[in-house]
Amino acid sequence: MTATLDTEGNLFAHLWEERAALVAGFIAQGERSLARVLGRLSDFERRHRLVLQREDGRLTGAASWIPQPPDPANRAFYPDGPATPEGTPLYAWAGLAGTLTIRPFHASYDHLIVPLARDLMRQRQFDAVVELGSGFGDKLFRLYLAGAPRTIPYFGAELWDSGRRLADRLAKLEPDMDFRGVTLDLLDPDLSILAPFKNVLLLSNGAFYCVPSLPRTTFQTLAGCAENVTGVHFEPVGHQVAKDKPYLAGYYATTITQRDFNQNMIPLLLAAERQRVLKVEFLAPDLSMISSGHPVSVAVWHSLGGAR
Amino acid sequence: MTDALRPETFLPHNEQNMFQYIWEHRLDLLNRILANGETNLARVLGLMAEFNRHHRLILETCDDPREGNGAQFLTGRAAWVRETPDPGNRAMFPDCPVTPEGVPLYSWAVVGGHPTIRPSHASYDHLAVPVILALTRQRRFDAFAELGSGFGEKLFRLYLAGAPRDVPYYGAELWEGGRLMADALASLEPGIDFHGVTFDMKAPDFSFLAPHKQVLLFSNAAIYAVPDLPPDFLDLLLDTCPAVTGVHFEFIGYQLGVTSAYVEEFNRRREERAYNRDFIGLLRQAEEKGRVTVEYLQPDLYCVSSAQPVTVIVWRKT
Repeated sequence: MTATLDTEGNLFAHLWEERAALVAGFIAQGERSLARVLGRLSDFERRHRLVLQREDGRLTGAASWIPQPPDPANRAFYPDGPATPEGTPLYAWAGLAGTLTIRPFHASYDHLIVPLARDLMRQRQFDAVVELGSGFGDKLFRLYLAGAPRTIPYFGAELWDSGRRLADRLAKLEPDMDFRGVTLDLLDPDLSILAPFKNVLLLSNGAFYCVPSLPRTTFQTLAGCAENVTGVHFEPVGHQVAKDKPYLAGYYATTITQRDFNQNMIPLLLAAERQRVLKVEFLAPDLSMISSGHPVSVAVWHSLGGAR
Repeated sequence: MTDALRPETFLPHNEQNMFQYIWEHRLDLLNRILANGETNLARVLGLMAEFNRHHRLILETCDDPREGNGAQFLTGRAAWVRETPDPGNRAMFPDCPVTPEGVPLYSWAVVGGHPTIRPSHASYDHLAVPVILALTRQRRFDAFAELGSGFGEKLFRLYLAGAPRDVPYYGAELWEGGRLMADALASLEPGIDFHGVTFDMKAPDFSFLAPHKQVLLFSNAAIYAVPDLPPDFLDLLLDTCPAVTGVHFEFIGYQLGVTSAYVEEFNRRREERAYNRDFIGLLRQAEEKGRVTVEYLQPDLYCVSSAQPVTVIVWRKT
C-alpha cells in the first residue's frame, strides 16, 4: 500500500486492505459461509485495533492489528462497573436521542441500517439496491443475509479498489446473491448504470461524512439516477442539524473539525427538497452512537417526479 | 392441527406447554419460507425473525373443559396477527418520532433493572450469542449444547457468528415441533455438526454429553418455563461431564431478591404463570458442595422484546 494523506477517506483504503488479509486467512482455514466470515471479522475487530502508521500527516501504508479488550473507552467511563468472567464490562455507554444512557455491553448499534432498510423493503418494491461508499459491502451482505429479496441486484459502489476487491471476494461465497461492484467517486458520482431500473434503494452508511464538501448537485444526481429513488443515510452529520447536545460538545470540537468531516450534506438535502427534487420523509439527528464513537443521524427521502 | 376442537387434547396453559404450539406454528412458517426457494440458513433465520417482528402469535385458550374450576387451557388453535413492531412503545413515548414505515424510532428498554431507551431497530433478543462467543475465545470446548433449544436458533446464530466449526452442536428440546424445525434448518448448513436430541428438563438425561471432555452448556429462556427442576438436576449433569461451563440467560432474577419498580411489575406476571422457582437455589447448593464455581451472576441485566428481564449466569464445574 502506498503512502497517502491522512484523511478519513484514505484511512478506509488502508483498512480494506488489512481486512482483506484477515478474510483471506479465514478462507484459507476453510470458511465457506459468508455469514461466518462476516461474523469472524466482526469478532476479530471487536478484540483488536488497527494501528495505521502515520508520518508527517501521511499514512505510510504500514499497519498492524493490536490485541485489546473490547471497548476500552467504556472502562474509563465506568471504571468500577461490573465485568464478565472474560473481563468485558457489563454495560456500555450509549448516546441516544441527545441523552447519554447505557446499553448492555454486547448490544451493538453498528448495523441498524439493515433492519431499517428491511422495514422499507417490506413497504416498497425495489428492483435494485445500491450502497454508496460501500467499502467491502458489509451492509449489503448483511441486508441480503437478513432476508432481503434474492432476485434483485445489489450494487456495491465504492471508490477504493481495495474495498471493491474484498467485496468481490466475499460475494463469491454467496453465489445466489446478485452482487455487482462498481466504482463510485462521491466527488463526481456517475450512477448511469442504474438508469434501467425503475425503483432503486440507495443506502449510505458512514460514507458521505468522509467527503468534506459534497458537490452542490449531489442529491439532484442521486434522485435522478432512476425513475423512483429512495435514499437512506446513516451518517455522523448531526452537527449540521443541531449542536445542542452537551455530551457531544467534545466530539464536535475535536473529531469533526480535526478530521475534516462533511459539512454540507444536510444543507444540500434540504435545498434539494426546497427545489422539489425530493421529499425528506424522515430526519433524525444523532439517533445512536456506534462503537467507533460517532453519533449517527438518519435521513430517509424519496425522489419526486422530474428529478431526471 | 385441525380446526375441530378436541378437549381431550387441551393442555394446561403454562409456559412450557405454550411452546409446543409455538413451535408447531413456526414450523408451518418455516415450511412456507422453504417452499419459496430459500436455501440459506442465515436468510431463513432472518426471514423468520422479521416475520415475528411484524406478527404476534395468538394462542387460543379456554376454561378447563372438564372441571370448570377456572383454570385456563390451551386448545391448540392459534393465529398469526399482523401488528406494527413495538405497539406498546407509542404509549410510553407519545412524542416518539416514527419512521416512514410507522415504526417508532425509540423503544423502551430495561437495563440493569431500570427503564431506559434503545433504538427500536436494536434488538437485545440474541445477546447470549456474543457472550458465548466471547467465552469461546477464552476457553476451548469440544461440544456446545443448548437446553430447551426450541428450533435451535441460538445455536445456529452462534455458529453463523463464527463459533468453532469442528465441534458438535446439540439442540436438546422437549417438543417435537422444535426438533423438526431445528433438523430442517440444520440441513441448510452442511458445515454445522448439529444433533437434535429429545430432552425433558423434568427428567433430564445428559448421556448425549458423555463422550465430551469440555462442554459449553447454555440455556436461553428455557429453564424459567419449568416451575420446579428435579433436585438432582445439576448433579446429573456434573456426574456426566468431566468439565462443563454453564451459561444461562433466564427470567429468574426474582430468585435473587433484587428488585426495582419494573421488576416488581414483572414479578406479578411470573407468579401467575408459574415460572421456575428453584434454579438459583440448586446452583447455590452445588456451589456449597464445591461442585461448581459461579463466575458471574447478574440479575435483570436487560429486557428482551417480550418485556421480560433477563438474568445472566456463568458457572463452571469445579
